[in-house]
Amino acid sequence: MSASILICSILVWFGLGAFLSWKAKRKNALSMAEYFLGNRGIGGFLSSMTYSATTYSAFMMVGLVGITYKTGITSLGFELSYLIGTVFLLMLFAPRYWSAGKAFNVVTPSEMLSVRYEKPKVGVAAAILCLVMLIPYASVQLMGAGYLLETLSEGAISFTTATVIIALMSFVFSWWAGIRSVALTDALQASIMLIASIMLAFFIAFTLLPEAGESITTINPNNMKVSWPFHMFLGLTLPWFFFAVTNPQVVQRLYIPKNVTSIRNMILGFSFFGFVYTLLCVFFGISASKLLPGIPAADKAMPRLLSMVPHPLALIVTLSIIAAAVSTMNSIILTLSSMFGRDILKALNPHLSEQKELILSKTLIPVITGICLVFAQYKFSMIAILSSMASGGLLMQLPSIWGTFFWKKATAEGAFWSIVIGGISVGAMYITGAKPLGIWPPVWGIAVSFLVFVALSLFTTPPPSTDIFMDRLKKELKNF
Amino acid sequence: MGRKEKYLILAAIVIVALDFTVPYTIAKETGAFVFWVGLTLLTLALGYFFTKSWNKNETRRGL
Repeated sequence: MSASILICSILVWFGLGAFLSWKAKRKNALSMAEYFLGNRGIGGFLSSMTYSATTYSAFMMVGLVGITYKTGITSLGFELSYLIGTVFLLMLFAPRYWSAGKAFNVVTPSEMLSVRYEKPKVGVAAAILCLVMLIPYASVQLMGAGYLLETLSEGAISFTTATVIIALMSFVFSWWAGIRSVALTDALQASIMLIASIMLAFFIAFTLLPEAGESITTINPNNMKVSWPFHMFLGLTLPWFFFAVTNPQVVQRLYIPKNVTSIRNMILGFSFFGFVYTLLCVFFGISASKLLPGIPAADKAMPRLLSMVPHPLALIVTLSIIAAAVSTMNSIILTLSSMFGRDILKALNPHLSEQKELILSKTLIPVITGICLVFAQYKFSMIAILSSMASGGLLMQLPSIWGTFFWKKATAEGAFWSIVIGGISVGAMYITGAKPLGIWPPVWGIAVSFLVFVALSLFTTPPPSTDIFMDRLKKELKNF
Repeated sequence: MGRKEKYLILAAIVIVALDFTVPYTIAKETGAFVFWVGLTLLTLALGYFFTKSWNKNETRRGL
């Protein structure tokens, strides 16, 4: 693909997104709730699009296609299990996060823990865990998009230039109006992700593989068997299954819908998007295994597949992959910035005014973007480890999150230490490569985390206002 | 937690148990694709019907 056409297209896309981001700006964005939550007034359509674009990253069109290419249909089970888990969790947790967020004026996911357990240290522990786990994960988005652009332009766009462009896009798409900018640009990006994938699927089905007939199962029957060992399936699926309540960038989305109807539309819209997008990505992987057998590096399956389609279509699909990377990255950066301000700075200095808190949090957006950019340049081997353990590490918040809404006896000590000990256990196992009894680190980690949470909660005193929190929540939930 | 949510959790346990066991037993060689797609569609349908009543109070209040 010509580098000049690629750069021109990216610039046009960048301009369009920047215009939408600027257009979303409101005059009086002086509060944290306005900048990071759009004053809890985002409609159902935008909520569902931003939820979808934030969730589905460049991993889908590059990583998932590659895994499917290499290992077949088990990757579909992995990704659909995530979707099944998310739909159930959203039905249970979305009303609770939304109602409690509104009732107690909560801005970040970790702040919910601080409010419920009445100890800021719980929110600080969760926020630090999220910062440690998600900065490498966001850097990987940059690296993935950087490699893709470098490959597709045949080296004309260097990895460094590509990552700078993507980082700049992420920054500009979120800076002007925070979540309002992100929601609008995410709607644009989610649209191109879906439209480009559908166009590519039609081209493959009718032009490249017309003999496949009417079913995906007949394209390459060898890839239709369950090939992952069960421990691997469980170890990879478990953290993603709880993604909807453990990853702060998506949990924060649960505060933004303007009313109950918008929450419902967000869940249904996301369900539709996730189902269609997953099937399409798996279809591309299966198709590539038939059309291009023998590619040594599975991640190259999508770039190689794109070399078989007309340039305009390849260009649109490339833009859609960049859109997926940018929409995930800017959401992570925005959420981490809000957590740094609300859960760490505010905890250290409770008298910090909201205006200063907002300025400091906004300052963090370019800072975190810069850190991700530096991480991506050096391609630290540690980034790969930290990135792969991100979902497993974040899973350690699950006991305290569950206790927040469902267990009156839960205590701050239980919540704090379950996050700290669980996080350290998982981190140590990932770094040393330990898999006792062949069981993956997240499975051990969550067992340890739950044990610590329950044991400490039973031996310590629940927060004094537990009943007030639960009663208020119960009252608010009558809207559902 | 209301009765409706308790049924939802029960349905979730059954669906998740099937999600992890069936493809690793009877559908290991063939049928996993159809099974996973069918189970997901069932979950999405459940989501549609479970949330159907959510906006009734709002509509009545004219929000």
